[in-house]
Amino acid sequence: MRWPDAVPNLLIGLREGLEAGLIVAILLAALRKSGADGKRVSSAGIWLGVLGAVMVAGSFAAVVTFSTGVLSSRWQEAVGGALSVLAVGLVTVMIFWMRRTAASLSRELRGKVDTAVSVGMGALALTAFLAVGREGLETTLFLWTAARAAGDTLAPLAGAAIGVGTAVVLCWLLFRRAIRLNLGAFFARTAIALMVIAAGVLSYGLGELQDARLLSGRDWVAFDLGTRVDANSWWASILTGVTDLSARMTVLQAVAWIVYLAVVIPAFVRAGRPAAAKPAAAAPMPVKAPGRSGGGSWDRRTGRLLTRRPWVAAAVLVIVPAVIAAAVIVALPTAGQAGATFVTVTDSRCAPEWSSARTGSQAFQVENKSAKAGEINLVNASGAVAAEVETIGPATTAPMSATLTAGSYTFRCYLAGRAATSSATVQATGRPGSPAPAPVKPVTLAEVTPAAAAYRAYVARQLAMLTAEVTGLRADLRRGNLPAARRDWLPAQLTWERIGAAYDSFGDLGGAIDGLPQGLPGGASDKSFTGLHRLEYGLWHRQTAAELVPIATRLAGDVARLRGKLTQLTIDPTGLPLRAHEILEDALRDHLSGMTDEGAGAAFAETYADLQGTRVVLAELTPLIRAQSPLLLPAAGAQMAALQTALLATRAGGDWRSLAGTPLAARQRADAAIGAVLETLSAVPDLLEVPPPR
Amino acid sequence: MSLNRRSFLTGGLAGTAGAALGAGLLTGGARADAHAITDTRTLPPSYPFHGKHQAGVLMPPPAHKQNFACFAAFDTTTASRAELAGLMRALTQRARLLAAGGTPADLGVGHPPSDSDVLGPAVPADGLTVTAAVGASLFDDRYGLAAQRPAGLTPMGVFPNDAPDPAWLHGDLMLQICAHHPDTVHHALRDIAKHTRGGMQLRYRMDGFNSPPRPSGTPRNLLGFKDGTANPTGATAAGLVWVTDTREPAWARGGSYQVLRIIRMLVEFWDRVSINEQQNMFGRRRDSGAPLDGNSEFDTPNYAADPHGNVIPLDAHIRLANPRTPATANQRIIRRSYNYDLGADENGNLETGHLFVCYQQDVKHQFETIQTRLINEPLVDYVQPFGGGYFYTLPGVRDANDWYGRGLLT
Repeated sequence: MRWPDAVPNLLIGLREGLEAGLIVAILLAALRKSGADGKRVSSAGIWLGVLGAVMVAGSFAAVVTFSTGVLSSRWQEAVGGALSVLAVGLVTVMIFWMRRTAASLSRELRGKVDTAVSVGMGALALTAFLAVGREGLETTLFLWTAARAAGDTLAPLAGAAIGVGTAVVLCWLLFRRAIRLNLGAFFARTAIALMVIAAGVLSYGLGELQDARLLSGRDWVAFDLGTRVDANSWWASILTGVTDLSARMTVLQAVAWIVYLAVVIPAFVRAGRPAAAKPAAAAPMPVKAPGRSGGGSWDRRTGRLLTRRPWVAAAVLVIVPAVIAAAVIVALPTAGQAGATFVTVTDSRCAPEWSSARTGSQAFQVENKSAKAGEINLVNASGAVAAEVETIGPATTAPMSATLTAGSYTFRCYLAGRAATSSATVQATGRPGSPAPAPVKPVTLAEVTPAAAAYRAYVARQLAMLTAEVTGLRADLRRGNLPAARRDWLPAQLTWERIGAAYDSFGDLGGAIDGLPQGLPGGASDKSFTGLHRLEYGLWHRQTAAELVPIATRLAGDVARLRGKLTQLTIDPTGLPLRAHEILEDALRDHLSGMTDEGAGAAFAETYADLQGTRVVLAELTPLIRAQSPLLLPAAGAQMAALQTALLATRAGGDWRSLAGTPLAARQRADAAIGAVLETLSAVPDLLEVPPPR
Repeated sequence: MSLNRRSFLTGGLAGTAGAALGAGLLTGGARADAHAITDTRTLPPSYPFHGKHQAGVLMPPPAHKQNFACFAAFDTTTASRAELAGLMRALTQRARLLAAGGTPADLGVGHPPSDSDVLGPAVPADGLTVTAAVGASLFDDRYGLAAQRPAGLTPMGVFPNDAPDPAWLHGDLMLQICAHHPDTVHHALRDIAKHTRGGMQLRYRMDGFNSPPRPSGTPRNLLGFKDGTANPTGATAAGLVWVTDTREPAWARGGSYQVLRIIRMLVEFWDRVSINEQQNMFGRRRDSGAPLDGNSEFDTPNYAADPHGNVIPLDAHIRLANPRTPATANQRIIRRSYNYDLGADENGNLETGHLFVCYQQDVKHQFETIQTRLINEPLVDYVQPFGGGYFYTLPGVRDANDWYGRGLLT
């Protein structure tokens, strides 16, 4: 909230409120004077008129606010711009009108009261209604455009409220003759300030019309200080807040601002001189004209009606504007965001607003009013999650979308460090719409743990196999038999690939066994490049057996160490569902791109091993996946079979070929097949998500 | 009386001054706006997807084509004709949805989101057209379609002065994706690839952009010349583009032959060429686009009055490409080209050029005849065609039950 934004509306509220208040004061005074003639007339009519006028202005404000909210941005700009220019016109005319005719108005108004009294209370009400209503509409328009120009609602509204409130108190004090105020000087001085504000609103309105393309010159910029001035600095916010100017102005905006002030202020000062010369005694309180009221006969007829049925009249004056406004607002098409259901979460309550629901696609706005982060779920009768906000920060609002079918739904709120809370359970009703995605029942840690344990046993068996293979590879090298070493390298590498699902559980040992030269300062000759790919590099880059024996020895040691540590390693069971697609994602990213090829050209063989590893993970998870989505595994199974076929088809005479040595069509078939599998398997982590412990 | 006249004069003067000021501001503004980046809000938000012909050829017309495009060549990896039909159905469904825009499907919490949100939560149509075409390789022995091959659909051959790179040539399927903004093009390609995964594999892809008029008229290519000035329009264009020949297979009627030539422009070399030589190579003035014998862009060159090429050289590009004789009138093509800009080559020169795209009824009679006339035109020193191919733009998708190539595959 920027307080300078409140200044223009404070001033407008104060001034217009004072004007309207003075009209009421004059009417009341005149009434009392007429009453002195012996004919007592109740002042209720005047208050009725005032109330009606306030209702009309309020309804107008509501209609303007709501109707522009649903417009497209271009129409919003057009309407906002046009109303701004209109408001400036009205305010300017009002300032001059008042200055010119101030002297005679009080008298004129008193004359009207005399006629009104002779007709009855209704005419009094009408007089007050017209006088205050016009003032009110003008004020509303100006307040609305000033708030729009400020781009904020709270500060301008607060400013307006303070201004109007002050005006009411001042009027009351003036009426009770508790204070004296040089109103002439007050209005003359505020008029100048009002003009400066009006110039800002005019320039803002023209800018809006340019943005709406109703006026040309949107890109003819006079100055743009946006990059040089910090718009949030205190002086910039005071300047922009008070004058409604912005850091970027087009030539039209800048010229209009200067010309408006250059014409209006001198004219105002000139117009004031003769007025000041007139005897002020006749009119101590300059007041605006109540406007031409309707023809006399209509006046009288309406007046009579109002007199006979005062309460009906009151109801009509107050209710009719509100009803019309409500009807207009309801008739407006709803904007996209307007359809969102708003729910809140507090420390103790979960979505207390959740009281009715409909089927079909819908949007929610979830506001976390607590000081804790949390997760919000919308669950169905069986506890399956239909929609969720995975993480909602303290004091934030997050959007959530859901497609609901008929059934009952409950919000569950899990705030950090607090017991879970639930909303009421609400029945979603409505037409059975398009098919909705199946809600997902959260998987518990207990459910995935057996799968993870089974996988750990599998890893242990694979590591035993790897140990034997590395030992054989080292023996080849010790014998100096490089062709045998090249032959024996691939099975070891593939064994490692098949345990891929545990890759990031092994810490530094994983890197030591299967690291790559990328990212090392020395590249392939870096000392910390060790393991299977280092052997691959040496074997396919003419290094001698003697050079490679220490590397093989180191590798055997690392594998042995890993086996020893395996029982203490914590393999996160909740990570296993991720591996269902990540092993093959890595194959696509690292192997099929050629990134991991250190010379052996084993990309397709490695991908094939990764497919086998993926099958193992899926086998462990099968019961869980089947419970959530019965169709996923058959689809994935067919796609994995196609991938296997495509991978095996890249071989020539039973031998794996390098990426570059494989015909494009065969590569494309393998790439297409792995892509298809991945699209299907990508749902597994979402289906088997284990909620964090709470 | 004199006072009245004076106030009248003052008022008149003030009024005149005000009107002049206002008019000046608005005119100045209009001129400034015209120089600013083209405002896309005045462009049609969408183009109809269904019709006798596909969008993206004559709708929007080349003179009003979308500013951004992608040419993506795919190879199909489907194993059978039935799978190929499934692929074409999936492709049609995505193209139809994307061309209309809307809110992506809600897949619930059990699945990664259906859309990338690259275009925000509600996907705008943003003038998207997806134009699907098939290459000659689709009619090989894989799907038993050989008998259905359009009569003139062959792989693009090598012309003298071409520098073909197999990685940038041909393809079973060519998608021309055009939209008002590059993110919309990107999103469409990404969405289509996601929904056709397993059925086709991207072979190569080139993104293109169309320049705004500088300062007016037809947009310029990256050699600085206006390109597309003499494009036939309206009924003439339709008569040159849509295949109606009864010798073509019945399914192909309403389609069109598409030629894509990816042509690198050696812009550094070009910029070191004198303006006279540049203009003589094209046969047009570079600044205004006027033919060398004319005053403004859309003047018609009068070759008959210049039989020896004294004004417009006989080997100028526009003269060879379109001799403007009755005999060559039906050889004209509809060009819908874009510029491309890829970065730099290893020598530090700009890797940039021209995505030459043209549509016609008969490649041999139209594009190849013109291209043959252009062999060894002086311009060849500055351009290197290295990619692209011949494709057959499928007939339009008629309605919600129709799909790309239904006539071919059923």
